[in-house]
Amino acid sequence: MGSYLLVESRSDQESPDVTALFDLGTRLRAEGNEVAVFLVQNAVLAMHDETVHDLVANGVRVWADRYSILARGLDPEAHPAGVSLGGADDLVDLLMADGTTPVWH
Amino acid sequence: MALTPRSLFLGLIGAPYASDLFTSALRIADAAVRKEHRVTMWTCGYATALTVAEASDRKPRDTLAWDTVYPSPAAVAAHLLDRSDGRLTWLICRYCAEERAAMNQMSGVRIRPPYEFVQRALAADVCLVLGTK
Repeated sequence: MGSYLLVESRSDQESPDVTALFDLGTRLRAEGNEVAVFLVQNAVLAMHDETVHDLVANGVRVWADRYSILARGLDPEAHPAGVSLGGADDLVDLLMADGTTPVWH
Repeated sequence: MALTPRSLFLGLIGAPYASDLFTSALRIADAAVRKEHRVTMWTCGYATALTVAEASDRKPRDTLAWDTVYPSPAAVAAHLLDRSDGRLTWLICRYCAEERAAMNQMSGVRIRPPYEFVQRALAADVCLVLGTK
């Protein structure tokens, strides 16, 4: 069993690959891996989307970057259940955990 | 979460002003250095121009906040290098810098040949390349 950190920085309006990354996370989780998805930059706009809800429902740990949310004039406290608020410190802890494979998109 | 200090290679590949990419890279580098990890920042493309010696230490004035001084990316990078206690190494790709006339770099930034990108990425405990497709 592996551990994966998928960092998404774009919204699905910018790149069709966003959906592909979320699908990858779901598949990795279905195969028994530990998977975390960290939403930063424009990707935080997707935190209320059904695709993110599905990730959470499938056992993927989802984080949203508080700074990115605030920078877009959104309320970080309005984040959906199952999505954790985090920052650069949390991202670095996930990134530097032994055995984790990170992917940035 | 307390972690054993490790080495992190950050590749900054994309156009730095097209998004929050540079901000994200600096936030990650800053947090990693504070947690005593060793960080190598490698810039390619136009990101090599962020740290040219000619860059001002402040951004152009904001007409809506005339008296507010905003540090330039070069100033933020210099600040981070200064207080990293040697745990941050800032490298730029020679090929990219030559193409963009960005060979005159500020103090603390080193110019390296392109092949070192892979060598250093493989040598690090963790490699994260920001800005690729």
